[in-house]
Amino acid sequence: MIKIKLNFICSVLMLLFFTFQSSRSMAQEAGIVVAGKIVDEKNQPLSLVSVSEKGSKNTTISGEDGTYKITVRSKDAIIVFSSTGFSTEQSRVGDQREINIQLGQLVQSLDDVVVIGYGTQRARKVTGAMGRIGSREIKQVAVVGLDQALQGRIAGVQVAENSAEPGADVSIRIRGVASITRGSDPLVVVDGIPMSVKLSAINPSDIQSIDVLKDAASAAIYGSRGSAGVVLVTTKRGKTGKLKVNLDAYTAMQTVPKRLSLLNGSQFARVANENLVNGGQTPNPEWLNPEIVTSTDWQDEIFRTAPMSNYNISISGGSEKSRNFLSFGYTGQEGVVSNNASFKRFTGRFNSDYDISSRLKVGVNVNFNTDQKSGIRTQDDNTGAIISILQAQPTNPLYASTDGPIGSHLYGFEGYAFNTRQNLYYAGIGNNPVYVANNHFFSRGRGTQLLANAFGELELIKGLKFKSLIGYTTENGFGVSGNNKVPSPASNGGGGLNDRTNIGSSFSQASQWNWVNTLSYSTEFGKHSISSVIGSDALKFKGSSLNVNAFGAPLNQNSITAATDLSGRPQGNEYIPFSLLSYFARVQYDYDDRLLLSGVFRRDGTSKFGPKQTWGNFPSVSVGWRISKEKFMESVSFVDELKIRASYGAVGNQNIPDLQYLSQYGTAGGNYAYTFNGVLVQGLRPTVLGNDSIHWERNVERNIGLDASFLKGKITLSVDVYRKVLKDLLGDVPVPFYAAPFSGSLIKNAFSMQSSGIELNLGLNQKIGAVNFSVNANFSTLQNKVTALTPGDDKSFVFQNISAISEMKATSRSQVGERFGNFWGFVTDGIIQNADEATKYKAMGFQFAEPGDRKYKDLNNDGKLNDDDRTIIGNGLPGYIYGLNARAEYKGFDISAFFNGQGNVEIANMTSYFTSSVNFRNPGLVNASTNILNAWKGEGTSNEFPRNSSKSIQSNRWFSNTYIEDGSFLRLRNLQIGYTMPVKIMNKIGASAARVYVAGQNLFTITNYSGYDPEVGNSRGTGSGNVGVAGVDYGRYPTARMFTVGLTAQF
Amino acid sequence: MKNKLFFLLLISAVVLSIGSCKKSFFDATTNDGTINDATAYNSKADFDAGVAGAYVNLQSAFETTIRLPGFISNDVSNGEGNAVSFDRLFDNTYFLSDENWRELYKIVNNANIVIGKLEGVEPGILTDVEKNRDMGQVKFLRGFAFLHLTQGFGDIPMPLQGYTTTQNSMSCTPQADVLKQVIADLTDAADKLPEVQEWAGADLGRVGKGSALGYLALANMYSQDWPTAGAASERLLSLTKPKYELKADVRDEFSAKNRNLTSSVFEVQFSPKSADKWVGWGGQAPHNGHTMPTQTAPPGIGDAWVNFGGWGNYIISPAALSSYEPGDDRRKKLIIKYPEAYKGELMTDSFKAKDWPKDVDFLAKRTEFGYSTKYWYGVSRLPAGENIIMMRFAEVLLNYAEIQFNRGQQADAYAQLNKIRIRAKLAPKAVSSDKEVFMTDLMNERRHELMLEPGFWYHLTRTGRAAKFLKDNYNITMLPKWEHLPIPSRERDVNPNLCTNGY
Repeated sequence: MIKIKLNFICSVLMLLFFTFQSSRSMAQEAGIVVAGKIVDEKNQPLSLVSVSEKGSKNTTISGEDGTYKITVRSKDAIIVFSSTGFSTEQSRVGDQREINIQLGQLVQSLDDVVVIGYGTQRARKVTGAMGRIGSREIKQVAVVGLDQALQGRIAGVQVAENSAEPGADVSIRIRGVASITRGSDPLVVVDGIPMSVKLSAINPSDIQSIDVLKDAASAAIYGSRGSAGVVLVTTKRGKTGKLKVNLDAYTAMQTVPKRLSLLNGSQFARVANENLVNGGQTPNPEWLNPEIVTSTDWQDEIFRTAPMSNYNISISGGSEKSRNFLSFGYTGQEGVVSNNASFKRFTGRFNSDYDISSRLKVGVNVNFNTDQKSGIRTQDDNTGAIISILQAQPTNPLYASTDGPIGSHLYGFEGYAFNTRQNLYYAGIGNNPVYVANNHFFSRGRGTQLLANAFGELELIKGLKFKSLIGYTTENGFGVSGNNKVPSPASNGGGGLNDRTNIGSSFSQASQWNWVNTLSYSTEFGKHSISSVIGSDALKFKGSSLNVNAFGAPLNQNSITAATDLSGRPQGNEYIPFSLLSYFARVQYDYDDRLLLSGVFRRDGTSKFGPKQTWGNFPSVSVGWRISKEKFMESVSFVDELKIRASYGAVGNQNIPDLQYLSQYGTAGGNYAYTFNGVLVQGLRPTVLGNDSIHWERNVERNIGLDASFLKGKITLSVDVYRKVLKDLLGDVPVPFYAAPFSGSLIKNAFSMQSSGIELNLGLNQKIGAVNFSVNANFSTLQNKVTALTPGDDKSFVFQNISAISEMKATSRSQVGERFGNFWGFVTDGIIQNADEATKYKAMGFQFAEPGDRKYKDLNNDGKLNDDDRTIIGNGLPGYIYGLNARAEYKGFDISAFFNGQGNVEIANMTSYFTSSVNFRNPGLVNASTNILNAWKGEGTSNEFPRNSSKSIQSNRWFSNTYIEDGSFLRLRNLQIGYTMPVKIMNKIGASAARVYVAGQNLFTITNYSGYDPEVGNSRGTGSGNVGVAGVDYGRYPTARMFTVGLTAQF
Repeated sequence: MKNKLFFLLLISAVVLSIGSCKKSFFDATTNDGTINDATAYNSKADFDAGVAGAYVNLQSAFETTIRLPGFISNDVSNGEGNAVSFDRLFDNTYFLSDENWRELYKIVNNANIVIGKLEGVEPGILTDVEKNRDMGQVKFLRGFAFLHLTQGFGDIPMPLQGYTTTQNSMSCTPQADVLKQVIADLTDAADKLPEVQEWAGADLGRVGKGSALGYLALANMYSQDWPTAGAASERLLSLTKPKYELKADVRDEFSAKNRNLTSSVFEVQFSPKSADKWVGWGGQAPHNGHTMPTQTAPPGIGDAWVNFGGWGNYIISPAALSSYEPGDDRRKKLIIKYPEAYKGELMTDSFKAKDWPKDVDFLAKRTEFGYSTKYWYGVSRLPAGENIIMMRFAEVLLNYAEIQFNRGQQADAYAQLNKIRIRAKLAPKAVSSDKEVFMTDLMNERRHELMLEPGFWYHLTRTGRAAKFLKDNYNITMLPKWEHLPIPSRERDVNPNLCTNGY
């Protein structure tokens, strides 16, 4: 194998070598000298604008003050002015000797240099499907992570916050899900190094641009890791010129924009006693007079206005020979739920470039991040903060002035009031949820990441460059979580389950090294242009962790000390090392800048598969035709650019666990033990059933696209249509329990899926009088279908429990022939209105059904109502997503509005399960939504809300279409108004540029969703199974509305 | 030009240098903390852990082997005081038989892996003594699991090695052949294992020769190989470490304080220390404790009497209660009925009439039932850490009585039987040479001696007396297929080659 590889690479080398011999250099001629100044729309000088004579190699760039000087051959020469992010202008020299030009800012330009993985390319030459955002878009929205900055910006890229808790996870899906049972997270590459740590380690302020490789042909250069798309991040670098200091600061206030409508104290007292009486129980005497009960609004008690602030300072500049960029950033965000959630981050970056000689360049990039997160329990947790405030009895007070027993059922502790009938083991549900969130549960983490890389680039001969990049990333983490002591009053017997503290603590350390070598060569001869790169990329990832648990530490102690009794043995875990070795080659050819061809080949070797399956090959090819360059288009003056593209390629999926090819044995985290002579002895059992024939999941993708620009860039349009065939997807295929009793399944490349979509990007740039106006909109559709699961079984499915409450039977199900991750449940059929109907329902298996209980449809018409009557009732993956950014500038003022949204999507509102009845849920009756005021009270009173009775049967709460809601929304994600100070004022304060702005984030959301927020994201779900679950609201931490005041200044 | 060519070659060498790395670059199997097929079972420690692992699922399998046959016999019913309907018990999706199946096969699977690894062990890793002792233990465990599986399910798939893909489509092995394998495993175990008390110190609680012989005798009774069954029993009776015995007081055979009694042939070990935490609910999670005291104590009696206050989930039917002869010590000392008193080993005060639940539901529905105290001693560690006895010497003697009768030794058969009766403070039975008379006497004794223990129902099915028992005691007409549990539907979905066993 090695030999074949060697031969292959040698052949490519020889090819390159001979090609290079045929190159030639251009001779420079004497001619006319033209000079001038280039400014932007605000008359600010523009440096680094490319100024070139059309049809020649003759190029220069503008200086720091925007001036340039170029010598052209004749009066007929046309000078082209172009710069990334600006319109391209042309001017015929004629008799002019001074040409001053104003360039308009573009959101995107075909002359942009885009990053394509191991190299760059002009946007106009791109033949794959890509998307890009620049620093301006990144800065527009106040975000912590670069992933959030992508939200709504690029067609086909869906970004959702899985939780809006500060520092929480974000999910990015590029062209939908890429796997059925494994991950769908894209590969993120920062300055050529794949990220092995969380994305928030990179400060968005340090980012110059983000390029997204969407189709297989673009991502094929990353081969086995490209199936879910690739996000290429380029950080800012110093430029030649005088030192610049940039200051960027904002401060914001966050609030929860919505409250759910819950019963107040007197409503609850009345409804709760009704519930008891209707169920034949004794009413609670304390609720007999609803007018005089306490009324605590637990939502108001836990939600708060929370600050966020962000400060960045960067220093950049450089001489001819060296350029540096240095930045520091601080972000502090407090949570809007409880005073116990916060995120603090400090980042530093140093990017440096040195020209040792005209042929040798070296540089380093160093990124440091340290952060602290304090979290609370919310998501996926029915004792978490959100669900417990919704259920807390409003008739209980929050505070107590004395400690110890108060009245008939309260107990004061640390200034808070507790319900003494309850043990805090049920902390979330009925007890004081504010105390629990603020003082009882705690979860704190600290992490430090250092990402460093160094590179050198040597130009061997003109056009032939060798580049070597060595990276090292290291990460340390420390986390502590647990719960503090809570009262266990004597009336409850004392000594209850959770009267002891419980602390878990973990340390982790991980590192990754990378070594990337590339040899690139580009040349032009005649009308032919070739650009090629070959290279190798190697990485190794290692790490380890240690966890310790302790019980019984003193009150409020929240770390494990030497004196703390450990309740279990410390768990050490050396991570399975991951290594990847790749060889790749890419050749891009174009004829006359008109016919474009690109071919990529990557070969990946991995530690994830067995010796027989180490290597995988990933080829791709793409072509483009710039119709606008054809002769017949010359007369069509309104078209600046028209290109059609087509691509075909195969990529793999990196998101798979290690070492699945070998059978493994373990102690199930130390919990698999037997006792001999009274002493626990750890036992071994099979943990992984190995399969040495597993190999890469493959995505074979076709893409057809069109890029167009009209009226000198006033209108730009980009359309892509794609179809992905995801095959050889890894899945757990059932095997009999008698053979594999611990797993009942074997991992195999058995599953497959198809997905397709249409993506649209539309840009408008128009100057109306003194107003510059631009709109950039994107829209994309996402469809998928599961095509195969268990071999030979066309009815097979994989499922995931989406609720911890087993009586709901709530699952999502991916079934052959259907969409991925459908919600699977019953279909309601109204409410049983009278005894006759009840009799009919009893006969169908609802033994205890009474008038007022919920009916379901007997979908299989077998006369019985059971699990077989469940069906597809929704899907949490959006059918389409869109974003729209509108911007207007007038003199110093600018205003921008950024909308994003999704449609054809459902949300499984699991949160509403908990507020659907006031029924006893250990340890007491719980509060409910005001919907219960409309509960069935007799024939004809309601066909929607079941009776309010403690005897109401559990089938009333089965997972059905009553929990499924339309998840479509349109959100004003950001509205920003800025003012750039006039030069005179700036000069007085010594600044060269300064802008102040105010912004509102999430100002409004148009949606029919009844929960806090329709942006639900991908929860991991609860219970068994490993299928990701999208669109399940299970006490999700709500997204805040944010008001921001900010300043950016340059000195 | 030459210079440049040299340069180019140098760089090619750099680019390719990583490729010259050895295979170890991709090695994910070392230093990773996992024990995988590339590294496992190369040390004594792995074998020790593997053998311990083969025991673990006894802790999750024992409960269904007590409860499920108890429900089927109707002598035990669930917490509602209603017999579980036979429709449900013999449904191929019923969770108890599914759990019983899975947990027993976990023992088989773990034992198979260790047996395979022991057979191929490199010299020098284990001494011959260690190897024999390991083999004896895992063979016992596999034999034990297969015996219980075939007792419950009849013909069953019988994998004899760790997972291979060919097992996916294997067909059932007839019960007679399963029993041959059981007998081979237990015979080997009985030869290789030391006696229970020969295990020293830290190894106490491991199975011994006596454990293997007790089940070996039982397995041979299925094929009515009385001489072999008798020989196994007699080998057991002749053991000295310990010399198995009946305790003078039957109460003393169940204890929280004393473990691995000389009256027990096989006990599932649990940890006595409350620090050894329970890991999870349900049969499929590993346990270092169990809930049998809570499950069997009267419901809602409060935390002062039993952990979690008692659930009353496995209770003894009125018919079973009334079948005890007057004065039967086992009824008096091992079962209570409302409003009787009981002083468990771990109680400071007696549980008295006033301590019984007072709620209407209980008084209306539950007072006619019996509550076994075999597992309920008072409040102990949470969850309970007492050992669970799978086979007592009393059962061995009753089995030996059956063997002796069938060998024509009627007098000795009655002598064995009467040891149990006398210990229960009942009059000895007179010797009869009528097999039906003897079997009736014997099965009555088994019923009362083994109440809420694993064996009784399977003795009924083995001897063909199950239908009569259900008819006489509960007026239930037994369907022939009820001789066996249905193989769980999921297994037959995944492998259609499996047998149906009449379902």
